[in-house]
Amino acid sequence: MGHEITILIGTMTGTAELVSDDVRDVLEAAGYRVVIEPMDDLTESIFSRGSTFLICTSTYGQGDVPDNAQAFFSSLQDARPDLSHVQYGLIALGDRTYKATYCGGGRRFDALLSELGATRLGEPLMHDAGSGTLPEDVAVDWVKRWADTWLAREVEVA
Amino acid sequence: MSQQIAIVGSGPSGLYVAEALGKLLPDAAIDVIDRLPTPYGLVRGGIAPDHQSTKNVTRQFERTLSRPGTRFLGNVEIGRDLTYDELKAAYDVVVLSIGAAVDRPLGIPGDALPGVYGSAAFVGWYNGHPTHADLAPLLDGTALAVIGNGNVALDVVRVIAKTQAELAASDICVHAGEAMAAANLTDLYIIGRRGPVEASFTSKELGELGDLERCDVIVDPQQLPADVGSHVPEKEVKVKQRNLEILREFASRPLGERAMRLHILFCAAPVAVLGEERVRTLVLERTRLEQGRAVATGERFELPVQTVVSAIGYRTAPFPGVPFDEARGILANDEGLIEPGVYASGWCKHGPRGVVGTNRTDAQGLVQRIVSELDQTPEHAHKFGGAEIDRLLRERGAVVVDFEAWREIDRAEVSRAQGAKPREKFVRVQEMLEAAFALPGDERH
Ligand SMILES: Cc1cc2nc3c(=O)[nH]c(=O)nc-3n(C[C@H](O)[C@H](O)[C@H](O)COP(=O)(O)OP(=O)(O)OC[C@H]3O[C@@H](n4cnc5c(N)ncnc54)[C@H](O)[C@@H]3O)c2cc1C
Ligand SMILES: Cc1cc2nc3c(=O)[nH]c(=O)nc-3n(C[C@H](O)[C@H](O)[C@H](O)COP(=O)(O)O)c2cc1C
Repeated sequence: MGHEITILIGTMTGTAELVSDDVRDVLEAAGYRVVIEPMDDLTESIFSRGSTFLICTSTYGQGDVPDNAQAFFSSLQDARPDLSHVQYGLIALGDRTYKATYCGGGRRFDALLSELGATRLGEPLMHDAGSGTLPEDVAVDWVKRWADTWLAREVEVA
Repeated sequence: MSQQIAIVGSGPSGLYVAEALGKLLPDAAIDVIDRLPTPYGLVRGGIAPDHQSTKNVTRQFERTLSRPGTRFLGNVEIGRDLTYDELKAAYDVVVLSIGAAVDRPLGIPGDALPGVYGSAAFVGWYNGHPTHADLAPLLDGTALAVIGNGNVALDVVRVIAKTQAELAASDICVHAGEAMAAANLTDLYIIGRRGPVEASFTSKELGELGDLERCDVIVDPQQLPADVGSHVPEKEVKVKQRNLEILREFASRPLGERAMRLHILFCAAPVAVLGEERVRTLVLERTRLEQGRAVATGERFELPVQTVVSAIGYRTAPFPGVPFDEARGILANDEGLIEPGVYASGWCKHGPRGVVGTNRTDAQGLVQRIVSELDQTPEHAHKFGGAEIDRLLRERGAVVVDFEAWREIDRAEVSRAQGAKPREKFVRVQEMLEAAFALPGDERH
């Protein structure tokens, strides 16, 4: 059985969910096992899963995480679990017209997870909704390279 | 048999419910019914034509409507082609997601004069909603006032203030684009009863007013408080502070020499619209704020304007057979439940507030409830669903626009667009049907 990847979705209008559906399809085609978890009802216990994580989140308000991620985000902030065993990749959705808060939702998760000891695999993907590219297309290309670079070796071993 | 579900309304709230139900009940048959041949509700007909990236959400909605088991039945109006009772008889679950498409009236003397328009009509006109495409608003004066302090009011002034070049990549309907280009407006007003902190603008939309090519923004610095104040809920403080910063920056600008001026007026309540044949003057009364509430001062002033657009909120159109909450202008419901098996979602459930995504969060909760209540329906009790409805519609000679037929309309709109425009909408149902079925109009309907 392949390496497991858990995708955690933070979304307001559902783009991150659509992106995750497509990302799952390519990862599954490449032999990974994929679990999708909307952040709505998550707690820190999700990180006890022996899995690599992909955070896929958009940005709202003043560079904030979307509504469905807020409770999860603050529970991590408050409980400050030790996440030194956790490895994650990041897909951040945003829009450059929001200037200073561009992709703020993803950046906040990135900062928090690093603070809690987790290791990010590779550079994050940041998607600009105003760029004229579709986030799901960009994400599918990105995640293939991401998985090849960071996870391929472990799959061979498994 | 599988669960038979009808969703009335293909706006965000209906389609988020369809998506969530489709994921939880992969075998369910889901019919999404809309009175228009075109899906997506206010994403097509409300969201501003120059905010195309906000309309990207339709990509997800396309997937929802393409899911096996889900059908789109466009050009079918409940109340015209089918009755509420027929729906209830045919489906196990009916979800009403009919939005709030009726303008809240200004309720002041003169509000029915020619030249006064509600924002549903005005926005529907420039966005090509078939009900409003023929509005032909009077835009022959030099001054226009928009009453209301939400994003819809900002949309209306921004779209009017933009040049044709600034709208080149929008999907504003050609009839409206031309009418606006022919107008000679020099002064636009956006008017709120309360203050800048009470306005429900979002910062990005407010900020955009500062980037208009041919329009200066004028704000009286005296109207801007030093601070947001203690009555603002914690989670709104940041947005309000940012809005105040933006307004201060506007107020600090030296008066420019652009052809148009946008005056942002706070603490001014409309009291009357004057004119004989049409609008001539808007009478306002200054208000003063007490803990965020507007209190009348008795001091009146007049603005010479020839057009007034009110953007002060919407009500749901009463739906025959469903109890109506007159005070709130919504379908009477208890946390989404109208009667056993019938639910409400979106603007017709909770009123006209929130962004597109709010309807998604809301739909997730409602769908949990629907599924748990459906679980109590015995397997054999499932109803006939779409098959029965198709029979009724055939009998009545209804022309149903399914998802493939909508795709034809979509393709035709995209292919006839000029220049950088993403689409040129059809604004009449007849034209839509012709495009949908690629048939001369008179052979149908
Ligand atoms: C002018 C304007 C601009 C906006 N701009 C933005 C924005 O930039 N960003 C943002 O996030 N949100 C914006 N919104 C808010 C957003 O549009 C709403 O949150 C959302 O559309 C509400 O969804 P709904 O499904 O409840 O209603 P609607 O979108 O109105 O959908 C209702 C649907 O029901 C159908 N219907 C009604 N009656 C019947 C019937 N009897 N039989 C069959 N079908 C019926 C209608 O045709 C329509 O398709 C804007 C709203 C307005 C009014
Ligand atoms: C009301 C609103 C506020 C937003 N705020 C930001 C922001 O501050 N920074 C940013 O980069 N993108 C912002 N965005 C853009 C979204 O993050 C972007 O469109 C994303 O693709 C939406 O994904 P979702 O559908 O999964 O929520 C905002 C969008 C909206 C509608």
